[in-house]
Amino acid sequence: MINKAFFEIVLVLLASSTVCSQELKLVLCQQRRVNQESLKLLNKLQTSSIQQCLPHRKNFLLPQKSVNPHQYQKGQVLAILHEMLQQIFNLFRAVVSLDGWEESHTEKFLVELHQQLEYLEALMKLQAKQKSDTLGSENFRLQVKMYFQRIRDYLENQGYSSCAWTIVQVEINRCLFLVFRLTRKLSEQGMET
Amino acid sequence: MVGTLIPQEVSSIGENHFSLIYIFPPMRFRNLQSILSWELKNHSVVPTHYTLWYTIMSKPEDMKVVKDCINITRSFCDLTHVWVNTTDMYVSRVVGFREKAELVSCMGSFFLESDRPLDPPEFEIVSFTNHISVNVKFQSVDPRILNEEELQFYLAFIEEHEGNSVKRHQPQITGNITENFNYVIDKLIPNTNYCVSVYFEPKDPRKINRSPLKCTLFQPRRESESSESATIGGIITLFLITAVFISTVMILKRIGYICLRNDFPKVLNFRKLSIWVFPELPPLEKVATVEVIHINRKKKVWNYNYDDESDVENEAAPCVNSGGYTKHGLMGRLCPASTTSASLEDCSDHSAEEPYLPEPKGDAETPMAPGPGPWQSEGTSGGYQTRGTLQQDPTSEEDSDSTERSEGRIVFNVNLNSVCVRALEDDKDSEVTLMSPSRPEETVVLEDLNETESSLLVASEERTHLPFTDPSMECLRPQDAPSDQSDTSESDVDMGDGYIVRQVNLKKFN
Repeated sequence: MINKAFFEIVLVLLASSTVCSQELKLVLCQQRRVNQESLKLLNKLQTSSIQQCLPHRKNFLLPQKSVNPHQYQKGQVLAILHEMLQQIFNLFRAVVSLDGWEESHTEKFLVELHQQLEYLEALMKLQAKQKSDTLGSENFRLQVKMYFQRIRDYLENQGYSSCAWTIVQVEINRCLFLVFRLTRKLSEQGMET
Repeated sequence: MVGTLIPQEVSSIGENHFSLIYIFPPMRFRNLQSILSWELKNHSVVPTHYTLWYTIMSKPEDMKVVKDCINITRSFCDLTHVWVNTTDMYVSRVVGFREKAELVSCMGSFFLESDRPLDPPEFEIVSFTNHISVNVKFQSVDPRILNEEELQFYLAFIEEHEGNSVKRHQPQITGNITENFNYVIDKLIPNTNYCVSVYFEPKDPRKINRSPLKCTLFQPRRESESSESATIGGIITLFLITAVFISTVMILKRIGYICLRNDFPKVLNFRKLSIWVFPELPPLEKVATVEVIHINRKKKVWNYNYDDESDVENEAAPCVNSGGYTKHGLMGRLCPASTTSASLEDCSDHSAEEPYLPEPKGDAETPMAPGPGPWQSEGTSGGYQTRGTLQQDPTSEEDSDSTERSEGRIVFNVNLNSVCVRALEDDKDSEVTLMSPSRPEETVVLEDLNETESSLLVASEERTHLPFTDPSMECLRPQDAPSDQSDTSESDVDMGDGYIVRQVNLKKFN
């Protein structure tokens, strides 16, 4: 009986790990798509506008430690990823509605971003058992929240000008590529375990 | 496109109506090094020196000059060790001088993660029998520009050109990216020209830098060889399977699991149809009652009770038994059947074969000396031989006890080996030829002597005539002369009649 139950447990673990690895591959691929869409948005920016907005630059103090993939454990990476992407999604939705930005440009980006969020939420449900890891990631999540709050404050202070939005777009693009590094780290961790 | 340098209007120095527009093409990066290069489109005014500055967008910093690119005459600058943060957006500014006069300047913004088009790696293609092998040689990567992790995700696409159709392969790069990578393209059409191109896919799909095509003609040359080897392998496999099957069958047969040998005797052979249709009945065994006639021919053998008891024996010896009694046919001396023992010689020369066994009285050898019971032997009407297999016929007369004989028979123990037997058929008139077991060649014909029953067993006192007149009865009788005693003589005579008959018969047979 014990052997039979053990065999079944092993099967379940293998299946779950297989599912997880498949999900992680999806997450990684989806993140590439998200980043590509973000780049498309960024490419629409003219270099002249970039040069003109150089004086409006602001250091938003992106939490480097938060996006440093080498210090995270498996459960923490997932939480950080989800938090960052969720913030980006909310930011873009808010700014687009306010600034009257052509939604056609950002719609595809938001669609890809939303899909990525769903993948991450599914992974988080699978890793719901590892609550101990999420406790340590609360600090990082807070830093991420503060970071995006600074961005929102900047936009508000700049009156949601185009230059401010340009600066923010550049910052978001930078953030997404850091997220891509984290996602790669997550997929590597998921395949290893 | 980020990174495209837009023309910047620069007012010419010293000239009011002179506007110089210089369009700088996008900076190019070679392989994995960050080399920023620029070109002049308007060659009317050519600067002699160039200086490069740069800054980043994430921080409100001032322009920094690249130390290695100050007043350079070349139109490119190596920024591999300068632009190390691939996630930052770099803004560069190139200023062209001519004799310390700023002629032109150009700015550009670059996001290295996406704007660094990687040169395609070198590769080789080899055509095999059923596939094409593409060996991609990755060049050494500067970890500061693109580490191994990131390079893995610069997916290397291999395009397969067959005529006008293009098929793209996306190989999975695992392991050390600096090593060579081998990819196999299969499912190809024979005798078709295939061209392969390898490139890195940047994050910006528009910046694909394809390698030049390398083509080869796919010709499966070794199909015959492979088919021959496949044929040989198939033959060997068949041989092995056959050998295994045969060995299995042999083992099964050996252990008796299959093909059991049935060496049944013929009588147990039920497979013949004739047996089922025409069952052969086993030969009937004929059972007949037997009268044992003691005949002693060798008086020399036994001595002890011959002379003294000859009379008695002669008298007492029942030679004729009627109705299934044991008949002890004694011939005086010849048949010295004592009352107590049936120590009779064999009727034939069997004495040499069988030892003389003086038998105890009566019941000691009941099966041997059927004093009570008649001796019976199996036999046919035509004659039969018995060899010591005398049986008591249970169907015979029950009063086999000679002692029960009304006429006072004397019970004898009979040594069958020394007697002749006479079969008493149900049909008493039939003649049954018996043979003593000791003498197969003898044929003793016995006949029911109904008339002589009563007088076969002659008591010692009775010296009656022994109606032992069974002409068919034969028995070897000794050559001894009958006893001198009258009784014996009588018996002899009487028996002599029978004996005579027997003798006659014997003679006949002899």
